[in-house]
This record gives sequence, C-alpha cells and structure tokens, in this order.
Amino acid sequence: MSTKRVPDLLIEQYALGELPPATARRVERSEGFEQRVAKIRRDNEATLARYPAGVYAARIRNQYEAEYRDRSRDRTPARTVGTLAMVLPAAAALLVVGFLLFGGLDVGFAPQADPQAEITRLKGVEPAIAVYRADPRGVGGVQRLSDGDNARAGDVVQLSYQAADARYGVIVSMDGRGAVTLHYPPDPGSVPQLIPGGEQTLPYAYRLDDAPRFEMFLFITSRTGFDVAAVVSELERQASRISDDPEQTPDLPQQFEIRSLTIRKEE
Amino acid sequence: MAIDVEAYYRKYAPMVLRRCRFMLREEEAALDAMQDVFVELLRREHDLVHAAPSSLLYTIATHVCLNRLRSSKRRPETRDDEILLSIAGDDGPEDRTLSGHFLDRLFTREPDSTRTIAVLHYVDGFTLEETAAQVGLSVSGVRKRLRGLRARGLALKDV
Repeated sequence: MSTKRVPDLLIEQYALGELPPATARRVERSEGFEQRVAKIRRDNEATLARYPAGVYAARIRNQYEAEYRDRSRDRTPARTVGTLAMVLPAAAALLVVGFLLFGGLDVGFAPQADPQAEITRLKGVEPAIAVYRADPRGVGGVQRLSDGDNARAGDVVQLSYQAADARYGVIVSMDGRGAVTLHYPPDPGSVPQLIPGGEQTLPYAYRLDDAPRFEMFLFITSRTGFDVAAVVSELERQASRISDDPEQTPDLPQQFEIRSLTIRKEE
Repeated sequence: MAIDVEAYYRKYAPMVLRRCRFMLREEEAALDAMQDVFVELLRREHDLVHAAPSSLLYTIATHVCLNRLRSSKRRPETRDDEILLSIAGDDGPEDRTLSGHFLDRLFTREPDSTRTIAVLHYVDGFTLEETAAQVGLSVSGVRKRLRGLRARGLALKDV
C-alpha cells in the first residue's frame, strides 16, 4: 500500500470510471482508497438531491444566455426581436430597468428608490407572470403593471414568473399585429424547464415597439415537458384571431395552463 | 462538441462543487463558483474535444476559485489553506498578462496559468510529472513556472 496520499482528482476520476487501468490499479492500492471513494459516492447522491440537475442545469443555461451568448445583442439595443426590442441582460435586478432610460449601460447602477417599496412581489402558490415597467417619467424606480394597464411604444418592461408547482413553461407575447415572440426559454429548441421557488426574473428587459392596441404576455405552464416550437407554432396559427379580439386567450390542449396579462397600447 | 448540460451536471457537478468547497470553504460561494465553471464550459462547448472532461472541469474550477479568492478576505484555516491563499494572492507577470486568456488556452492545450499549476502541485499534491500531464505542459515547463513563483517570494518547496 502506498503511503503517499493520492490527489483528490484521481479518486474523483476513479469514481467516475475515467482513469486508465494502470493508474486505477495504483489508486486502488492507496491508503484509505475505499473510504474515499465511498465518501464521494455518498456526497454525489446528497449533492444531486440538494441541488437537482434539472433546476441547476436550467440556471446554468440562463446564466450563460445572459452573460455570453447574447452579449453581442447588448451592443445593438435597438434590434427588434419579434414585437419587442431586447435592450439589456437583466439577470440581476429590476433596478436596471429604471436606470436604462436615463443612465445608459456604461455608467453602472444608479441610486434608485427602494425597489421593495415599489414592487409587489408575486405571491401565492399558483403559477404567475408579472410585467414591470421602468418609470417612463425618467425619475427612477419601476412599476408593476396590471392586466389592462396602459403603456407606450418605447417603454421598457421586465418580465418575471413564479413557477409554483409547474415544472415546465414558456413565456410568449402576442401583439396587435398578430406577431408572436418567445421570451422564455431563449430559443424554441430549449427544454422549457422552469426554476422553482420564488419569483424568477428573465435575463432581459425589453423595449415595447409600435405595434398597435395591445401587447399580451402569456405564461403557459405544464407539469410535463413539451415541444416549445410546437406551442409557438400553434400560437402563431391562432394569432390573427386573438389580434382581432384580445379578450380571447389561445386554445391549447388540456395539459397546459395559461396565465395572461395584457397591456393596452396608447396611440 | 455540443453539451447536454443536464447530463454533464448530473455526472460532474458534485465533483466540481467539492473542489469549489475545498478551495472557498463556504457553501454559497462554492455553489456560485460551480455554476460559473459550467458556464465557462458552455461558452466553449464548440471547442470541446475531451471525451472525459473531469480534468478540464477540475482545472477550470481551480482557476475560477483562485480568482474569487484573490478578492476574498478570509483567513487561512490550515497550512494548505495558507498556501492556497498565498498562491491566490500572487500577481506575477505571467498571470497579469495571461490570466485573462487562461481558459481559452486551456481549451487549446496551450501553456497554463502559473497559479493553477501551483495549486495542483503544492496544495493537491500532484507530482511535477502529474501536474505537467494535467495542464499539458512539459515537466521542465512546469518547473520553470514554479521557479518563477518562488522567485517572487512565495515560501514554497517541491513536494
């Protein structure tokens, strides 16, 4: 039995089955080998139970989307994405929204009014969607919009959701021109896994474009997985009907629950 | 190589989290660092060629944690911890110049960060040969980097 302590990585790689045979045999002869491997296996189970793969993989994807993949879009804030212009990765805070209107991206976070005083957090155990708007008067802070509230082209809004008991979901918007925009997950090929727990803010704020009459935000949830592209395609098929009458909501199979919040556009 | 994040997480996240816990000694910070490691992996998924990426993830975790330790105020708890914090705080010319590109180079197997080499050798107990294999350098290259570190006053000796 070797007296030199084998580095942790080699024990980890043994447990993963990634060591070449000769190295594996050397590791097997090391002091405390069996206890070290058993400890790793116990900790593996505990870690995955405490920090579930589905939840944390979604967080990692979201963080990646926010930090890297869409970084180039940050430099072109006027770019239109569907009906809305994506203006900022905002994983950290709704505060950013208020700051955007007059602070710009280069200056950092401006002092804001206490957000807790201005934001009513999503409450309850039902899935929910919320829309926040940066103060259009340019005095800082954010305002939570309710169904039927008014907004204008150029207003900056931030979306958030609360999954409650839903494991999967998408957030899309439909506007008065019948355009459908997917906001979450970031692309139609993604798994629509929701992050459980409290309110989750999407990593971007958006600037409302000049589509007339209304902007309807839909939070479509399910307890089982589904094909995001198929749902978006179905919504596009129904968009002209809803564009004609925004009091209606989309008609989707029973597995889905739909929460909607419609903003009226001031002309 | 496209990455199935959930499959990678299931297989490697516990190992990465243990590494981050060992270096940072604080659960929340370790959890944040673990996520950063996977984000770095995703950022370079199209350059990824490793069939068994445990070494790569372990080295990225070491690098990510060293960067966090540099701005940390924590006090050493053990001798290894003292060495780790000493290495993290070293700001030699190679790291000043190269650290920003370290992860890019890691993926193309170019020369490694001296601080990461030092942690593998002095804290983890890898021999010079094992360290060299881990980071894709020659043994003499590793020795040269570590000599530079000692020359800057870090009280380290070969293990």
